[in-house]
Amino acid sequence: MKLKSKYWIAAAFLAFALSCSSDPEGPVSQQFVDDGTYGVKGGDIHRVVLPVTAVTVSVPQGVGTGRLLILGRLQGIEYRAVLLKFDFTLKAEDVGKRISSARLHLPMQVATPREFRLPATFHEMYSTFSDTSSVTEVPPYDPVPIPDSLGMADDTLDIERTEYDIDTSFVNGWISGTREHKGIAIIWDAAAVTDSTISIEMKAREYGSDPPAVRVTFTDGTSATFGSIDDYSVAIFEEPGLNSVGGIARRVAFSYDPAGIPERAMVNAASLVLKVRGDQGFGGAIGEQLVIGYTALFNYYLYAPNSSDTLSSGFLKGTGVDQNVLDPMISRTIKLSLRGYMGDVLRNARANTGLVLQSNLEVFRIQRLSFVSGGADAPYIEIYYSLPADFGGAQ
Amino acid sequence: MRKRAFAAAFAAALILAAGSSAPTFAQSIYGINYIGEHAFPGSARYRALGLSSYALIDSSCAIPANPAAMADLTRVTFSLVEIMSVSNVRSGSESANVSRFQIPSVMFGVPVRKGLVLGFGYLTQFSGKGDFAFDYPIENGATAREIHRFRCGLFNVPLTVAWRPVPWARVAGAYRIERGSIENAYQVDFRKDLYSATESKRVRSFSGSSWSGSTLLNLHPRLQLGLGWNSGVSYEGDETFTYTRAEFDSVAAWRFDLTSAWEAGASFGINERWWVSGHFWQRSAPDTRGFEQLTGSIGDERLAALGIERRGGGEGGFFMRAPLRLGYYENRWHLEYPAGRPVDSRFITFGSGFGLPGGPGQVDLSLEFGQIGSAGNNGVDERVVRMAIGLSVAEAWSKRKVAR
Repeated sequence: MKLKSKYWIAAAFLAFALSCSSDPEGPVSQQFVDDGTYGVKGGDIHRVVLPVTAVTVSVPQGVGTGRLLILGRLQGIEYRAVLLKFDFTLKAEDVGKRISSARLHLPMQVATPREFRLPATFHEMYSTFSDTSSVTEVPPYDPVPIPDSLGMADDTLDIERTEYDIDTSFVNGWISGTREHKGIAIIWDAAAVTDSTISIEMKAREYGSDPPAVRVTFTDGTSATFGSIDDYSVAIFEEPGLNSVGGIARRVAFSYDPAGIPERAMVNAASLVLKVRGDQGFGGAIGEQLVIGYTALFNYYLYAPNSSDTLSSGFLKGTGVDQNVLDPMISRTIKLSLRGYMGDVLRNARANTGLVLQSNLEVFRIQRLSFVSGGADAPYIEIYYSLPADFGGAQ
Repeated sequence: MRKRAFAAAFAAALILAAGSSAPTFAQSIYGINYIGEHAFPGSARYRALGLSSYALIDSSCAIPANPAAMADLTRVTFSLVEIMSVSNVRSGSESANVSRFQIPSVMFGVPVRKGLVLGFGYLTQFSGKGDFAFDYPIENGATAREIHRFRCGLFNVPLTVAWRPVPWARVAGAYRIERGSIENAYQVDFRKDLYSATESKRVRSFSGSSWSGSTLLNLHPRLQLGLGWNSGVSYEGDETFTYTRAEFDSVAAWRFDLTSAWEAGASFGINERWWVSGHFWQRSAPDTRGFEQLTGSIGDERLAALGIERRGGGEGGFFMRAPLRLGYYENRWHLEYPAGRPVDSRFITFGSGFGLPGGPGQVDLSLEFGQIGSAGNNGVDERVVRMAIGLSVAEAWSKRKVAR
């Protein structure tokens, strides 16, 4: 028992010592640092704001692989036309038959507002296209619309109708090969409609089922369907301001001058500070969200271009700096991190060619992210940096 | 049985060393300003006697204050001393509680023949640690955090020869490989997402060598005298500067010196069990080369210690048989803070010990209560409770007999 009591004394001694904890020593060491006795003085720590010049740069771009075809106007983006192209190859048993009626099948999905009716006309295209083309404006077409079976040219598109009569003579010509089929353009008169948020959305071939089609009935009572082989929504964006728009596309280029920051600065944080204009933001068409399930978040990509010349190809590519997602319809100040990038620029490891913000889904989706361009909320770069500690003597 | 005790003690040493290896270097808050706090080498018994037992014959410990005492070892002996401290530091209206550990000092003593012992091991000589941080307000309402980290450790590896040429005299000489490093790191951290810390760091690594000699004279069965001298050390090395921006990194030669030191001690027995001991140690002020900011703030260091011991007995209960130790010491630091005002440590010490069950060996414990610096004289004072545990185990080594 006596031996055990010795062990207990030693164990208690150790346990007491090992269970002790420490407080931060900062305040009680302050005077050693302040009066130089400690021998190490921290460097100054600063925040600096760099003014930024920002411009919107157009990068001609079109998206032909969307799963919905859209006509209308959404947050400044005008979906001016829908292009359709069909394969009119007949089955063997239909060769030689004549058409008694023809209808253009447009699988409507969403109308905004629901009761909206869009005046539109159908036109033969003068030039062909494909889904993989980058179509940035409405291609040339025959200004004389394709009439319906009654000879009427003007029609209205709405959510309740999916079949539209077209003149059988056009279809007979396309099927027989006597009339070259380069495509049909569905055109609406944007100038005649002043509403800012209107749209008709229909399934595209890429949706995977029930594509746009030309449905015909032959004189013998049989029928045939010719589905689309290419379809396209032609969108136009012409609004001023700082806009990063996917699909169209627009990128925002920022330039700045870091002069005045000390040569020995070590960057703790650097951010490109932007004020988002939620009232101009566009996360995607209603149908894209309700029918397809796309998110309305804007996926941005910030890069340092290889060239600051907006006309050179080097402007379009560069080194990634930051990427993330945000809601383009909420007004707020955002800070895009430049931490590693700015450190490289300040130590001359990277040329200062500015920064470019683009949609990371630029070739897939049409979205819009807009920023305040002037005044107190104009873009700027904020840098927090510290200077190396002063160890005295050689260093 | 003894072998098992020896193995257990060695394992305990490793565990203690591993357990203290992370936040190891540690002493007084004043230690951040120069090369740390002086750790006078010696056993836990030496500490319990207030660092006074320089002239003390001890045949069971391989870390005596006076290396000449090792000449009395008759077995291969392993000794370990671990020191821990808790303190309350006060500076003006601020205070902080601090706990610290120190890398254990370990020594082996190997008798090669009666009265001739070789010793080697690891002895911490100076150590210091500091982690402190301050807020740094910046425009726009932001606040950065300045974080300082100080680590300092000077140690030596002594190669000792202790000899007892005549029964009343012991002498020892030691060659010491001296090494050390001092690290000062400074970080700026905002502790926010998307902010990164920046760091500036200086690491001084240096080495040198020194000689020492000591003697322990048993002038009378109850009177022992000790004298010792340590040569100065010229440390040479470099200081490496590293920064978050690696292009600023640099290396420069660096050196500093410690001057020689001498010491003397005496012990006398009032009777068989009660002994009084005293010890004085001094080193003149080193040059401030390498620490230019301390010019005018480095003075002589000295230690004055007094202790009394009731040695262990064979009769009575546990507490009647157990040794009791009491001591007091004053250590004047090299550092003066502010210049011209020396930093003094004053400690009262207590302790005891008991034999290691199962074989030759000793476990010693000490408690020290004291104060380093004073608010009136230095502006900062530190109230310290320091604990030490010492362990010595021994094994008689002989040629293995081959069973036939």
